[in-house]
Amino acid sequence: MFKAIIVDDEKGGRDNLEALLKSFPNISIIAKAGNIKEAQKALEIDKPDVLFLDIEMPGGNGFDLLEKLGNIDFDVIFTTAYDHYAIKAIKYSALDYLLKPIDPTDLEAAIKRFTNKLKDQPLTNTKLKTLFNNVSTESANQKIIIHDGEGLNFIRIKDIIRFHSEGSYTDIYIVGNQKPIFISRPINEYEDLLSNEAFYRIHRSHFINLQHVKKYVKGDGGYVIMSDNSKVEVARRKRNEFIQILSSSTF
Amino acid sequence: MFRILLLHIILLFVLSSYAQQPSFKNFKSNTSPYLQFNDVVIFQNNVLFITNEGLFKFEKEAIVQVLQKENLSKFIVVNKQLFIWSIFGEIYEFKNKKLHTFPFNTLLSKRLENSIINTMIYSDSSFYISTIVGSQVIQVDLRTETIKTLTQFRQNPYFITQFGKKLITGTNQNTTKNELAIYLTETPFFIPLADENSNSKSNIIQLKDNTYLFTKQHEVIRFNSSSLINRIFSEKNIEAIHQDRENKIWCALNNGGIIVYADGNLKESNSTRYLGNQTVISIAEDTLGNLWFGTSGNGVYLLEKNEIESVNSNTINYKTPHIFSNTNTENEKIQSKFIIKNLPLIKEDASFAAVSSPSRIISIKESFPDSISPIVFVNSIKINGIDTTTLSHYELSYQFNSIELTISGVNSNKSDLQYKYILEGKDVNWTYSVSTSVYYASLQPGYYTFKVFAMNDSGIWSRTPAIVTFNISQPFYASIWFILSGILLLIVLLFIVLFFINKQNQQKNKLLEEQKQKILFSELQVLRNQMNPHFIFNTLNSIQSFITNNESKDAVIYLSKFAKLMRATLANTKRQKISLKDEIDTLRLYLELEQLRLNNKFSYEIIVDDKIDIHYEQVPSMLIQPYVENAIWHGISTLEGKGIIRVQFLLEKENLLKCIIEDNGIGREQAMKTKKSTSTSFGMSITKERIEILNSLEGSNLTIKVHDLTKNNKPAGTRIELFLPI
Repeated sequence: MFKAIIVDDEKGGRDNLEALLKSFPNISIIAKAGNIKEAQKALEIDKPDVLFLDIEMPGGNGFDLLEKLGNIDFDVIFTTAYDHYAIKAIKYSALDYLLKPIDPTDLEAAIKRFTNKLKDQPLTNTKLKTLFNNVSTESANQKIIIHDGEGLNFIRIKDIIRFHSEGSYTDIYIVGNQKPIFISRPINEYEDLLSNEAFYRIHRSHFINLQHVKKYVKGDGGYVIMSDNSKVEVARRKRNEFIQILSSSTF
Repeated sequence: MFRILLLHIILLFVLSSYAQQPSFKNFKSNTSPYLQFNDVVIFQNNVLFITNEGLFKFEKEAIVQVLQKENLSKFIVVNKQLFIWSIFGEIYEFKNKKLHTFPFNTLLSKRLENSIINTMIYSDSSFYISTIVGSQVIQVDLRTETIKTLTQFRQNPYFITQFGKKLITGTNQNTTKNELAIYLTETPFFIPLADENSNSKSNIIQLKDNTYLFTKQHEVIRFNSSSLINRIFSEKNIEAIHQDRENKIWCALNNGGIIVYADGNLKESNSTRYLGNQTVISIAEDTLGNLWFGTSGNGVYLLEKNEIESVNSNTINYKTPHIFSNTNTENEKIQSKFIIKNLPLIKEDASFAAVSSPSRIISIKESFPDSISPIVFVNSIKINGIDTTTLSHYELSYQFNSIELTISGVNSNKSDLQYKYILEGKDVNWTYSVSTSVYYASLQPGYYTFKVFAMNDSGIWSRTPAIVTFNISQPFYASIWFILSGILLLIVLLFIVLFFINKQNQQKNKLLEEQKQKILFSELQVLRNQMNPHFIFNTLNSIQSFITNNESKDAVIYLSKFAKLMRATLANTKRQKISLKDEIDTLRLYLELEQLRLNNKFSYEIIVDDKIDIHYEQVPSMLIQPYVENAIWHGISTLEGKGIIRVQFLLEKENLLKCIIEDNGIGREQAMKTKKSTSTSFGMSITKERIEILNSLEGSNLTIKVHDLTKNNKPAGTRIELFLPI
């Protein structure tokens, strides 16, 4: 049985989630809070295993609450209706979130993830630190957390040179690293993740950081030379669009 | 025609160069190959050279240095003594391989400080020095050890020499007239010189027939003790002259090699040229009759006796022992123009003034039979090889630029005339010639004045020149007006081109801006269409029905779907292109919600070709949805029975995606009649417009095909085919 606390400024939000969680017999709600203060009080009374935390609240948002708490020994699942910037930061930090209205399937998946990685809970604090960093700094200095077989990699976005797809695996080339980070996830996940950054999918197998393009060499599709002097092929039909993006970008 | 002529010329050239080409041996110093050989002398069986770097000698087939000394000029051989003088007037004796300085050298060079020495001779224990700049004659008397400037020659003498007991001097009686004063008998006579410039070196030798040959620059004059015999202009300035033992006369030419006249008859036809255009400045003949020629920069040429014979077959054939054997020393007889003994003629106080008085000279001049000026004229003028009527002025177009003039003169007696001519506008100096034909090839456009003077044997020039002027016009393309107007035209053209480019750019920008706005507008309309109230509120209504019927689970599911569709629609409108996966996901949400609205009146399937990577391929966002919407509301909604919507994505070509939207509805014809809500056809028209914009903006080629499906000749639905380039 896992203990859960729900923090949401809207009553409808709290009640809705409570109702939805009834379908999960292994989750019991120990408290509901309408703001940060109430949440703090609730946390003092009893420690939850998971906190469903709304981000946008009057009188201090969800991030403020976590910062005040310092190191925590429970998991956090953020809930939000629409906050593009916050969602991006959460995604980068590899934390979980739910969009309101909450899709029962999404909720099920989130709870599954939470139960599966319970033993990894100590990582939540590191992830949260990254989140706070990402929320407070400009885009270029934001970090993304990438799981590989060995653990977490905290990678500054501007240090990523490129992603190279090997079927459903991906190699990530990073500034200063001789060897790429090897990830057992498809390249399009990163394409989705970084869709708002200066990255571009120049080829079925290549997703590159435009800020690391040193030179474009013309050819059938041509190729680019990256800052680490690696040559990366450009797909023929991506060529024109790529050149247009290169010439119009201001990085 | 021209080719044949050219061939002839080449043939002639080849033949003439094979004929009579004696073999000159050339020697150069190994250490200084570019020496200037000022003088050559054969002394005590040695061949010695004065060069700009000192004294050299011929030894073992080579030119080797004897001693180093700059500024040495010429040799003077007196009996068994060899003197050398420098251009500053210092005199040395060459003895035991050394130069011995005379004690008076300092005094002498001081007196000659601002002069240029023309000649220096030795006579009766005195050196006589004549100068061309400074015009003086200086006597260095070795017996009395005195240096005197001989006042009787104050009338601008420029050379002095003597033959036997006779002395010849050139004087410039007044500052404008340049004459040769000849004192071979009691009564001197005068020969006017063609050249106005007295400041040039001269040569004089006595020929075997007791006539004399004088040269100065390009002028050659032969005379005897009482009168002029003939005169000729040499093509090039003469540096040295020599008559060999076979009476042939050799002239060393500046930039012209050497010219040899078979005898004293100084005619061009009587002469042969050798050594090309080299500058030969000294000549000497050794005891064996071999000739030595010193050049400026090209070493020494030796023409051996037998080779000289091969030049002229009518000369006596000598047997020639080798020149450098030590025999024949006793027979050595030096052919020097300056060996004079006991010449008493010049004495310090002897008065020559009376002899060279101006009045006397005038009277002598008048007594000359050929003192009447010749008349010169231009006989004929050929332009580009074609004879013309001789005019005094020619206006020629630029391509008529090769001019050949024939000149002739009328003379009081029948002696030959010499000419000097100049083409002002091209030539800087006068050309002296005996030839009556003058040719100028390929003249540049411009104004030219051809002037020619003739001179008779007495050195009298024609009073006036014959003058012909030519104006060769600039070719039209080189004329200043043509160039100026050309430049102007170019500038104007440039401005016009720039103007149009600018205008075009402006139009392009304007068009681009318009298109961007159109796109924004079309995207907004797509958004409005997708978010159309009809759809939103009807969907919400359907969800509400779940709630009222206590089907909360379904309500939650559909509400989530509705929320996701709204979210996706909002996100997709921000982007021009989205991945095919996102498009399919959105489409699926839409179809599910429509199913809900229509109470599962239709089923749907979305089929994607295995070959398509839906994550990688990109399609314009929200392009397909309106067609699906159309299929549902026009095809299916009024259909009796269950509808089927099938959406297929096929890879038509490597870079062409084919999207098929198929329904089994009532068909277009029937749909038109039912006239349902206009909002859907509104969606279709927006999409069509958007396709047009995308095509024009990105140069892509999105196309739509609509097929009416039939079954048993009855309408059985519609198939839309969208071709999406990827």
